[in-house]
Amino acid sequence: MIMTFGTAMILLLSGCAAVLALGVIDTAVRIFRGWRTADEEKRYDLEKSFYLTYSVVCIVLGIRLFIVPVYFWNLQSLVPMIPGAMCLWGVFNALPTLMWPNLFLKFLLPTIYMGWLILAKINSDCKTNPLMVSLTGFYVAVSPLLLLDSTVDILTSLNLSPVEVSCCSSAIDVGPRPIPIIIGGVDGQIFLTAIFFTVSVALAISAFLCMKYDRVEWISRIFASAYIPVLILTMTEVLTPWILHLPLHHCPFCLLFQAPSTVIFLALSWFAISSPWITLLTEKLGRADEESKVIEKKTRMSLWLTSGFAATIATSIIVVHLALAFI
Amino acid sequence: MITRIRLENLSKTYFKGETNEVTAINNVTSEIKESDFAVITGPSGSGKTTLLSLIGLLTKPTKGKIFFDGEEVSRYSDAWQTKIRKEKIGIVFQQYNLLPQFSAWENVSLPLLCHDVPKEERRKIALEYMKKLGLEERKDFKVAYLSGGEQQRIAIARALVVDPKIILADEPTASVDLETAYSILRVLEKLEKEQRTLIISTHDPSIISKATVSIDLRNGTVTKVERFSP
Repeated sequence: MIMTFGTAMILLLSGCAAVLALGVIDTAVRIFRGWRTADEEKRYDLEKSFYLTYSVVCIVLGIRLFIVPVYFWNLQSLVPMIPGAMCLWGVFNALPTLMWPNLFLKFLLPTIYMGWLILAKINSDCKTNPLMVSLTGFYVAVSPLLLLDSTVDILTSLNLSPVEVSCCSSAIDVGPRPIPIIIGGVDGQIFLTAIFFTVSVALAISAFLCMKYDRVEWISRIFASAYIPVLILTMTEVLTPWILHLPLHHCPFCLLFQAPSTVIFLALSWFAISSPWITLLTEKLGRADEESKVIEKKTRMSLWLTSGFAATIATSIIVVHLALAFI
Repeated sequence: MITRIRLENLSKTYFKGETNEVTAINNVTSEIKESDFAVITGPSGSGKTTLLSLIGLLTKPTKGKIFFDGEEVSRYSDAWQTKIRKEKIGIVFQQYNLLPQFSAWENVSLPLLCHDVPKEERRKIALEYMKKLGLEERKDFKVAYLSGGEQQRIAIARALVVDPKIILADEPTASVDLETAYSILRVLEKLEKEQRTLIISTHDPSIISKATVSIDLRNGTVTKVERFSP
């Protein structure tokens, strides 16, 4: 274990989040199972319990979302303490069995957490708590992931030790590249860049179009999904070597550290990818009555707007970076 | 005149399904107009306080509906009912329910805290209402040192400070002397002239004589509704 302020904070917050998350599962199950059959008096009691559950879940999810940047900031601060590590890659490989799956969780779970919080916002904007059952049911379904998230963070913090690791360049930069040097007579990197910009622009345009046309929604979600592998490949194969002026280096962690504005790019890309899927959650779970349908629709429009803007700004950041790299 | 409050088949049963089940309000249907001065009369235990609690959205009905300005508020969530209570209703409790550790003006200004009014503004508004009720000189007194009548007027000022459309008062003159009762009555008369809906549970004939509507309760059931010309 490497004890730093960040590690202590993650341990404390993850512990609190896990305890609180466990503490309200029983009440959430009771509300979810009991609401439909309850009489008026019983419903009033369940509603009172819901407010406490709702507040606790908001706190738990708030903690989990707050931990995401703290987690990466803490790992970055551990780089000098791990022999051989030159960037986050080294830190990840000091405990690969936990940290690589955790990296995946850190991108996936906030989408679900944000989805719950947005549904909660729709519910609180309605006058009759129409989403109470959906929210508690959703929480019960998500709670194992919430506990897993906290447990993995606690285990990572406890088990990460200063073992000797290899540098990113000795692992990422070796072997054949996933993208051929030439694709159809065009340079592979340029080909990939063209695909990246095409998908980015398509995602932005389709997200904006979703504000007006419902039928474009699935197209936008497909673009959002396609954006994930394209983004990963473009970051490793094109953006890192080009922006860092290191033609043979492909470590995205080095890029994020050396060009911090790419962190903003990554965060915006996360919003651009997540928002379309959160709209699916709100559409499926957030339309219980006429009032919630109206508020859900407005919320969905805001999410599409967020997705469109996030994709546009993220793409613009990369355009500026590439322009600066080639000047 | 616009209907401000409508009660439809309203019932409230405490300890439902248990051996000590009590039906405090039974199938009450009634209408109260915009600037009515309504009194709820009836002997002790007839359900007056329960009916006021139901209208004040402090208690959920077991059955029936409550409408405010045509909106069915009884189906709203507790959070929204709290919001409505905060914005539309002022309540004067029989036992005042003041906070003894706070000064008179701080007690009056408490509801303004929920409206995020800055402290200076809170004080200004509170003093304005205290002046209207003749309490200006008592502004910095801890409420525990005030007389019953003064405490009741503080409670009325607190109910008025957010300018609610509906004022509910539970036997406001029950625990005060005759002179104080008259001063409270004068305050209530003023409120009626301000086009607010006043609903008061009382036994006091002087208040009943000023009412425009009288709802008589017996064992939780409305036995008589009388409407008087103002």
